[in-house]
Amino acid sequence: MNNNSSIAEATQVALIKSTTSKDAVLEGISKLGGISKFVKEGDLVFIKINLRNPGGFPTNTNFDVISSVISLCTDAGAKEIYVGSFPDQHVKIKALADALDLQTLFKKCRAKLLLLDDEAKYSQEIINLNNKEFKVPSAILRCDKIISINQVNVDPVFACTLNLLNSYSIVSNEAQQIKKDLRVGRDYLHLDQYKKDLISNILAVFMIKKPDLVINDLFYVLEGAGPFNYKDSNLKKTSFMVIGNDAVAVDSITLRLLNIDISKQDLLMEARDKKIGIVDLSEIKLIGEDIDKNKLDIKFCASKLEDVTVKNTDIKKGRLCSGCFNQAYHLLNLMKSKMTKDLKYIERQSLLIGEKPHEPEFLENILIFGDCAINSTKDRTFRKIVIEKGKNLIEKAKNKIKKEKKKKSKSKTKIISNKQILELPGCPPDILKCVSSIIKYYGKDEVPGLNLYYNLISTYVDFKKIEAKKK
Amino acid sequence: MFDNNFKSNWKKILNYNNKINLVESPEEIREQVRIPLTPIHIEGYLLYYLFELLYPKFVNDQQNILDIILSDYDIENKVLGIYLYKTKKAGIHESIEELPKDLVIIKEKDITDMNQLFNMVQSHISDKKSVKISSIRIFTRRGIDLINTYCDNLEKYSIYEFLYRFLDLIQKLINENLIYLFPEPNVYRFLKDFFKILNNLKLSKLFRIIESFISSFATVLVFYSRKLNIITEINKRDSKLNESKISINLRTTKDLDLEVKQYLSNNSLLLVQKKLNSESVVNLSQDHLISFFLDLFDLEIPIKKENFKLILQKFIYGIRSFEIHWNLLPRPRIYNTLIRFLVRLLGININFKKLSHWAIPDMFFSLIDTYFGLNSNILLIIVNKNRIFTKTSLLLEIENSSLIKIIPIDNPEIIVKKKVDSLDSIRNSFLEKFGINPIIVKVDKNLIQMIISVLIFKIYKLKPLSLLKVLKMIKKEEYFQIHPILPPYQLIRKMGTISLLKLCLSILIDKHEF
Ligand code: SF4
Repeated sequence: MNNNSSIAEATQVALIKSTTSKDAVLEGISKLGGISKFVKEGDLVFIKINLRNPGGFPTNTNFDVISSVISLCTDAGAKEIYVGSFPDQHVKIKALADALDLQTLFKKCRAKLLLLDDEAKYSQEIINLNNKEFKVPSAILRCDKIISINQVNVDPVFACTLNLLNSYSIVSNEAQQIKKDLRVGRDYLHLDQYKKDLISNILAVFMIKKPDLVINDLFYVLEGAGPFNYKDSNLKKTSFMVIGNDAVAVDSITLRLLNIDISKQDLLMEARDKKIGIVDLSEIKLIGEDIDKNKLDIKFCASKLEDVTVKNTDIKKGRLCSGCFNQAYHLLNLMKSKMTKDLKYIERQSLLIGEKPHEPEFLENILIFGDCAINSTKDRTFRKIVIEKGKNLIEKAKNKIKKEKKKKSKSKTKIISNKQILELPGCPPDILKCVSSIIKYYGKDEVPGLNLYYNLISTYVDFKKIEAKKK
Repeated sequence: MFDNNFKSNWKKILNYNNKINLVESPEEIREQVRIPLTPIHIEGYLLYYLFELLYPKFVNDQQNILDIILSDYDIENKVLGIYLYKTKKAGIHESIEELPKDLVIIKEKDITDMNQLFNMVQSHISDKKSVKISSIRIFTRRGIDLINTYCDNLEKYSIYEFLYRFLDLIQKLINENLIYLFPEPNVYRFLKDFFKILNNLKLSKLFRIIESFISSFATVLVFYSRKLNIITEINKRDSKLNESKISINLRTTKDLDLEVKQYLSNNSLLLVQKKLNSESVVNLSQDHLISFFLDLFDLEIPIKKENFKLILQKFIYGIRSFEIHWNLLPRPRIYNTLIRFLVRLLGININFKKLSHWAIPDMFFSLIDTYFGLNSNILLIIVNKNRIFTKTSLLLEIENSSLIKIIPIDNPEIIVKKKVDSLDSIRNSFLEKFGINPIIVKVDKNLIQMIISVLIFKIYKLKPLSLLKVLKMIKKEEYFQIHPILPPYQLIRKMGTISLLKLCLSILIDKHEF
């Protein structure tokens, strides 16, 4: 028996369709042999959930599913059950937990929410991966069993939010960031080195502590625009749940269910090549529904930025990598969702993204997004404007009254730098910094919608800290 | 089969309608009739006009109607009676002809396919009576019994009593399939689906709750049109007893000897106000109201987010078009240019004529979607000074931003016995008992009353200070609370009242005056 077939024997994935998400998860685990197969008496269990920001469903993992899994673990005799995750950039777990009252909620279910970013309380172990230091909370490393519950929504870079991505947030968002690392003779943008490095880091972090039980919750899937609730988002009820013991296999079944060509999914292909998990259907024992008869028709995120149509906004794109694509995608969707009124006031703006973007059609309100766009447009003509020099309006009026014939004098012009440009630096830029810069550029009165959004985020994000960092 | 009281009134209406076709100026025939199924008496001509106006728009715009009464038990032939109304004008019932009940045979299974049933009945009537009917109304015997019981002593009911009994009747008739209409009017389908959302919640209960939020008022609504102006006097006086005193009076301008020539003009409204000695007069266009309700009833239930946004836009546009499509006397102070100018100097821009109808629904849904989620359960608890005000709390089930169910929660174990100031414990009990983790919204009755009074019934007294007062109340936990403390609620609590008002107004009102 070769190595692969021994994995295959152990690789089981349950594809369950049910009337409620609770029933689906219970049925799935029971079909895989019951919770006792995964959690033993006295185990310390860590449940890794999506905990991105204090947004409503389906931004974070469905609480019904989490509470069902917690109660199964309790029944199995788990000694302690911890729940947690690192949230999105700049969001503190305590602020998020307070806004959603998660601590009391989990306490009620006899589990404990870990405030993983509180380093004073939770020590971190430094692990070196891909020439980078990752701080991983010891509380997670100490656990006997890891259960990963992941809400599946559409995603601009990976088609949908896979379980492997969920595992990535056992390290802080800061650690998740990809630093531009230019290699000699390699075109960073052409090869989309950003995505390659990201994938490499995701898989490396995944290998630190592989989950024992993996749940992809597709009972409801956010389609159209995601993974957050945007204007173009739609919640589709599929009634499906994919559960198994191998995250790669579970993701591979999930993608197939969503009718996605696996061979084009770099993350899974890389996982297969590195023998991190099983991707091929022939090597997975599928339990439950027939995958071929149940393919789902989901509307994925726009694959081109120009397809995110934002009122009065002209997108000029150059060469870009997945980093800027992802961030620009979110910025555009944010504009579309939160700036309904603002975009009418602004009348027109251009967004320049990527290396050597096309020239903007107008000279006002030019937002230059990302270091590549900023650096490659330094000497562009739109950066300068020509004005007539020293024309005195009073003098002009006097001349008109006197009906003096226009003297054929040479009109003097002056070239000054275009002040109606907003640079949004970063590789890729940070969305919240962009939000605060855009408000400053236009002024609060001009962007009431974005200003409201900014005020709402301020209730759980410390903007002063962000500003200080920027300086 | 209908009770005598109902029948005699209905005959009176038919006679009146019949007479009206024979005279040149029908409004001269003065005869009081009762609006069917209500205790309200009005001039026959006004009822004629209402039928002529509303029936074709909301029920059926073709001639000739057939009423069929069906037995609840018979299987082979369920028909108990057939009545034909030959109508010259759609909706104007002027004669009734009882047809032999064996003219058509309807079996139990026929009712499952109304389209086929209609075609069959239509061809039978066409063959035998040479009349082409355009719609059928089917009443079951049980439905008729229910209507008869309802009609018993109807004229003795107070308006309050009539309203909640009427709502119960309609809900029961539709919910229990005691009447059928074919072709199915949108309003019928709308109500049928809406009652499904209401689950076991009685419409009358909802009415009682909403009615209790409205403090005393006396207003006159003038529904204007080129053909006939309808004047509706509505008074509500709170009483210490369970029910409040409501009176409704429907008349035409002619009944009051008023010549209202210029719609919307303040002088015309002043005349009405003086004549009826009312607190306020509101002038609304019949056409615009009808068009709004037609759009509303056209919506599929559960109402999809995008459709809901559109109808909200229309509604807000209606509010903003003050002195264009509607008018109000006394003229609200908030529209006074000088007051607005002075307030604007303080950085507060209040101009209801510039409500951002095009942006508000979008912004509202974006906020709800982001922080409440596309799926959510919202538990609405109404309190009165931190004590449960209504025995029933409402659980609103939202799926993909659409309200799909309203579940009445009458469980005293969970809500009444718990201290209402501890929303946390209510949520925990909810979780234990139903496995649902709701977002709890607690609102004090006084706050709702204040909002309704300030923004609707006493809007003519509205001052910027009243808005500040409302916001101040919202900021106080005893009047308004959301659990968990979601970011929008955190913002409300954190921000100063004036800054909050400015922030809200920047969203609600257009920046540019022109
Ligand atoms: S600036 Fe943007 S496009 Fe350029 S390398 Fe960085 S992330 Fe990629």
